[in-house]
Amino acid sequence: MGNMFLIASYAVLWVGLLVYIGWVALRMRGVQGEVETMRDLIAERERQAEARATKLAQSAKLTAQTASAAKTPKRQPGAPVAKAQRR
Amino acid sequence: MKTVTRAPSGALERDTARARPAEQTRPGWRTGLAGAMKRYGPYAEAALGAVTAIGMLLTIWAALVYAPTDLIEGPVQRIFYIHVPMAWLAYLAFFLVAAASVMYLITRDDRWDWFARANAEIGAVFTTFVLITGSLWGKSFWGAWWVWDARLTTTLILWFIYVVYLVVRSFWGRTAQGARNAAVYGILAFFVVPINYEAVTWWRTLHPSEVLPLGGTPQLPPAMVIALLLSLGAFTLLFAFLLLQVYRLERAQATVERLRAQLEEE
Repeated sequence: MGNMFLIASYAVLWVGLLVYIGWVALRMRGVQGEVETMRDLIAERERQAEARATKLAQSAKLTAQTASAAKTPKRQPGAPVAKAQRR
Repeated sequence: MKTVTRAPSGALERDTARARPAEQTRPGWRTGLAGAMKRYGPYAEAALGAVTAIGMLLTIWAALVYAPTDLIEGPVQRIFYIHVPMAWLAYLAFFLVAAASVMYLITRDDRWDWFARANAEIGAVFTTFVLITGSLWGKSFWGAWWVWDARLTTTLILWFIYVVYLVVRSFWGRTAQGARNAAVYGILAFFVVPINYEAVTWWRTLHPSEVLPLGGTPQLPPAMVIALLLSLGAFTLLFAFLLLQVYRLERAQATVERLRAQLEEE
């Protein structure tokens, strides 16, 4: 009878410990997966923001170029071509 | 909106090192230690795991083969070699919860909070095994699964206190307020540990008295003392191994919370 309780004690302890270690490992794997997913999401958002900023800068540059082109006086037909324009 | 506790300096080195400007990183022993831990950490952990496994096998041999059979209790007395070390290590875990809680209240460094949480979890697991193995021994020796004896009752109270600590912590979430409340709880909860330890001397109990009294002579034959000490050593290694794993899990969960908060801000 005593042996039965002894075996039961050791079995409960070892099975319980193994289950606990397995549970910790599973939780760790889940959390690590979550960390990776979130990092990817943050990196993706950063990339998108960067692309948006580049696009904005390009469009601002284009607008500035168009504005400066509009400011330069148009040559009247028959008028002499300016040196800069000739070049 | 939830307030996420501040990221401690150096706690998430792997996560933040890339983002930290060069002038903010302080060269010195801390950086050296972090580098050494990063380089040799996995090997040390594997070695700890291997030594723990060997120690556990030795414990089984010492408890079931080396130690002599008790004349009065018979073979069921061998439960003692797993029951007693687990109870002592549960006390250690609860002491570490209280100590880490004090440190958290002083420094407000999240690492102490993670350490306290990891110790509370392992302490609760060990106390569960103490209650189960004790109950099995009681059924064999006393003929009852449970008696409302002072030591057993205070152990059950201790178990409830730390299970409530874990439940309440997950309910509060990882907020600065939650960590502060948990630290106060962790300090107050520790006061039950000395009551539990002294229960066998303060009250008349069915539970056997201390066989290795602090500062006294052991009331066991030398072979039994050796088996008990070997078992205590192996279980201490197991405790250290588990603490490392659960602490790392706590740190990873804190990283998830931080990243989630970052995503919500954006």
